Amino acid sequence: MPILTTETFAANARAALGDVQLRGALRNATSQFGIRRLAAANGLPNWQDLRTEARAIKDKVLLNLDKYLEQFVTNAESCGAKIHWARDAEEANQIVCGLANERGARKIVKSKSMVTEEIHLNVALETQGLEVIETDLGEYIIQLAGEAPSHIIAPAIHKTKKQIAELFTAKLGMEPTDDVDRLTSVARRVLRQRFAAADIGISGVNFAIAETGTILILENEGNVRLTTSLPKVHIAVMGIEKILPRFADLDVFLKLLPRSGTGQQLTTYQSLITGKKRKESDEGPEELHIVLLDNGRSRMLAHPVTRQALACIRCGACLNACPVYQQIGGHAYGSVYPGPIGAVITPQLIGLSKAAQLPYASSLCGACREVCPVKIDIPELLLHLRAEITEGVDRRQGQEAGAGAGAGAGVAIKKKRMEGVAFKVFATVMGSPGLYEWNAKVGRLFQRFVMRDGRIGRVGATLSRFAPPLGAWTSARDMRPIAPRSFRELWRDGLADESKE
Amino acid sequence: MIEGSYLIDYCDATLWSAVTCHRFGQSRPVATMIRLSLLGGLRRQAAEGQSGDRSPHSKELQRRDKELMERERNIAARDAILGSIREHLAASAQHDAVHAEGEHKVGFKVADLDVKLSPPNGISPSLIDIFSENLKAVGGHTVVARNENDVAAAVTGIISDLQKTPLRARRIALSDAPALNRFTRQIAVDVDEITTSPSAAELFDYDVGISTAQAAIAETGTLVLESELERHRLVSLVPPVHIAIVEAADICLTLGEALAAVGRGSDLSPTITLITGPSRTADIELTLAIGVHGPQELFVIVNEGPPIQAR
Repeated sequence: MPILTTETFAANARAALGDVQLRGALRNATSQFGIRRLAAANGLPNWQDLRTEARAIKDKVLLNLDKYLEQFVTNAESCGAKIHWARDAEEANQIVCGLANERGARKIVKSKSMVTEEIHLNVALETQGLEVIETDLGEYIIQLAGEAPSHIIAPAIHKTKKQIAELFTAKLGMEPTDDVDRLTSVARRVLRQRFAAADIGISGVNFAIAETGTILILENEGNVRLTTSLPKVHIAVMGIEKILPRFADLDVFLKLLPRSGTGQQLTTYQSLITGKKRKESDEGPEELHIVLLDNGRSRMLAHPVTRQALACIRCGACLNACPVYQQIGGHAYGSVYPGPIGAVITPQLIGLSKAAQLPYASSLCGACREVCPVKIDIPELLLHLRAEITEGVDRRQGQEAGAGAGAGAGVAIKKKRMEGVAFKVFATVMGSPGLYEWNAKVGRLFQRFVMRDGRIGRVGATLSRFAPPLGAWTSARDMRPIAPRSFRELWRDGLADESKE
Repeated sequence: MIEGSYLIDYCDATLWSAVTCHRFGQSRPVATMIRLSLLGGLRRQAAEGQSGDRSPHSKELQRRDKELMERERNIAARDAILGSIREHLAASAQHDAVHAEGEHKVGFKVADLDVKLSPPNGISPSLIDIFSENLKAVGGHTVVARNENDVAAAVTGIISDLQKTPLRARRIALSDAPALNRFTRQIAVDVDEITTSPSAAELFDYDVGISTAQAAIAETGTLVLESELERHRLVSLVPPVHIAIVEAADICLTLGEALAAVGRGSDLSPTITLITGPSRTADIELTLAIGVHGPQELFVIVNEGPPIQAR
């Protein structure tokens, strides 16, 4: 399977659209998730108030992030957790690899975590000769298949049970079956041995509480509990934006996250972990390490519009609601974070020039904004990023141009300048009734050459070159021609005459 | 040898001063200076005292050197990240004024957001009814017991029923809750073994885990387990069946009430676990499968009678 990147988004998307099996799986999954989310949200009469409250809490955190982080660190350390600060992915990977090597660890079990996907931790650990096993069923499946997750909360959503059965037969030597319970129990049996033998457990973090130093992880399967209970060392990796001020704030977020993600009132397990074990007779790890990762997040604080993206609690609701994601799935985005939220986070994390197509992977319909439990205005963010691309304001561009690596970006930005000129012309024409009418007449004169059965179908390559938007629009749909007579003409001639005809 | 241990003490002093710098938010140049001077000394010492005879201390020194460097890296990273946060928030100030900040206001008390259940037919349902209804919805079972004997009878019933299924229920693991030990004497069913707090490795071979729960949440059908009060983290997780005993008086209506009850500031348990039903997954074609990594059966026995815990 080719590695898809953000830079080849358009080609990835076209390939995904041709994959009938994938589109069937996506239709099934996104619609089911959508229905369940709606039912769960409707079960709470004050859903909208909860969303407002959640966003207010997140805004407060982000505007005082330095203070809350310091408070969290002080409290977590006083409970025996060890805090590691990581400026970027490489530093985070070095920290985790270092911890593993110092302890002579060989075997690592992992629970599902988007942030460790973001920093490609597994690759880093495997390079050091360590064995890493994903224990979430969906993650385990895609790890066996050598693929990347395609959905934030259901990583193997793109695979059918038939494909999974074939995978298990090939990799685990299991009898072919299409029984989901049977597949699940095989995974349970194999993974139990891994849990029993693991030296280190690595997890993500859903929320971190500043006033208590607690980290909280949600799940349904029980693999997070095993990962954070059985091995002697627990390493939790979290983005710096995961902080909540008070323990009581969990009430709001535990109402919103499961309902938005899977449509559950509450996921099966919540593990609230406050430090390492205290007495020798206690169960649980002897060491708790928390890695705080920046990796481009602090940069997003620089503007209220971009800052919104840090309020995200990774529920995946915007993926299910998005008409683009529904058709192409997660892999086409070429980034760890897919869908609408991915289209606004990825360019900010890896640089606009590397993901310049993603902010355009949207019809701006606003469905993502409607379902977002923390009221992130994703369309506003998409427009903001598009504006930055058009204006060539790439935060990383300066460095890249200096290093001579910005050639591709230069072409893209030049294209955007042309677009700027086109819009100036458009504005001039629209601003003058005389010019507008003259243009309409000329257009009517020429459109007959491309019209067929009263519609404009796919325009030829030559015309596309002169008017790229026309080519882009008609490549997949018909266009309405300019009417034979405009409203102004009809009005001048008298509407009454027209109705008699 | 004496020199070696002296060195380690010296090393400790330096570590301490680095940490002190860190605590008081001092800049890293101080720590760096101390470290560099120390490293110079260390390497000289190592070069002098070495030549063939590698003492166990040199390895220890290496480790401490590494540890020191890691501390310094951590302080540098922390300063850089906090600095970047402050810098970018400051840059945002001009936009914040224009952009309607504070559009989302923290206003109401969260407790006001909780659903007030309206009693159907004028009879308000008991917390036990609400709890059992919600637990049933996620595939768990509730048994109501009127007293301690009733609880033991319920455990007996559940185990003998399970023995007719492929789940066997021959080996029973108990948490260290004192009350549980008493029940084991009253369980009137043939089992191979009943053990209190088996080790983590042994637990994989048990069929049933029995614990108590410190609280329950009616509106979600959830159990609340506090690890400081009972050794039930693995007993409630590893065996394929979990039986939990909860006092009726410990059932709260809402999640918010339960969080307020456990969130007593500094004395939070190292682990608080909320459990809502048996382990589940829908990772394959969104088809629900029960019992993937945790228990596939969850039974909750609610004791309506006098509390059985304290004795």
